[in-house]
Amino acid sequence: MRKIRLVIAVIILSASIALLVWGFFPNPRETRIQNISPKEMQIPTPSSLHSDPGRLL
Amino acid sequence: MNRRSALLSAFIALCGLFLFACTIGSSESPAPTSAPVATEPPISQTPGPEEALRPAIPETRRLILEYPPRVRAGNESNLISLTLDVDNLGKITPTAHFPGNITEGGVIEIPNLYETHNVTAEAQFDIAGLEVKPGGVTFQPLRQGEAITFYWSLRAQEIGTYRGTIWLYLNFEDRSSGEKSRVAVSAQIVEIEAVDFFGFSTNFVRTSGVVGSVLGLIVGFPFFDDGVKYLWGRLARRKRKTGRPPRKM
Repeated sequence: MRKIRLVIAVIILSASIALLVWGFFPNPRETRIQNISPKEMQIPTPSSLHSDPGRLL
Repeated sequence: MNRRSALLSAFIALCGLFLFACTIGSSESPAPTSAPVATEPPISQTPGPEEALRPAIPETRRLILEYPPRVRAGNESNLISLTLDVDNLGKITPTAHFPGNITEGGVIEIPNLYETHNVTAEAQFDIAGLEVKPGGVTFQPLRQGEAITFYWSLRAQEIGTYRGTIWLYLNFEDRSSGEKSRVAVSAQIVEIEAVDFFGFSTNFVRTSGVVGSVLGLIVGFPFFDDGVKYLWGRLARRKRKTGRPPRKM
């Protein structure tokens, strides 16, 4: 009886700790860094509208 | 026989002529995708004198986007930040290029945009299926040497993979004429995955974890009690041993 109670306690505790870890563990974070030159922050002119469209992505 | 061979040679010559005409026609007719590229003037990487003297922001900036690629579905809120920082290491080196590969170093006075214009940064986070606050467009004034940060709070009610775009624009308003212009600086695509715990919500999992821990401690209390008593007894015995004076040989 005592052994069964110990096994049950260990199972409940381990499952609860697993749930707590999943529930409170901080989400992974991703950081993206992009350098922006002064040329990319100039006032747009009609000639600058012909730039590469894939530059932004 | 002669007539037959003459006909055969005429047929072969006609076929050859037809094939030749086809190849000429196909080489002369331009492909629809390559035609506009061929007619476009080549894009020059080096700015012209007018472009170089346009008012510009006299600093290199760094755009830092921080977001969670995976979030828990439920009522939990997550933070996304977009910082337009000043890059202290980035320096602008003015150079002047002349034909004949002669390069002359000199100071090019680029007009400071901050002195002539009001600069405002505009950011927007577009993502379908997720609750984002603040929604829509947010503005922040951009001043020389100062960093700005945009924050969004994100919440996912349903599990799934969501894709969105974070836009950053710069708005310029001429102080003298009031003329406004806008330039897109960055459009970053983000992918966020909302997950749950085998179909259970985050709140349910957290509550179950707390309740289960308490229950587990109650069920296992006699054993913990025994364990604590055993450890306490060993500690007390060791203390007693160290407290005794050493035996004389």
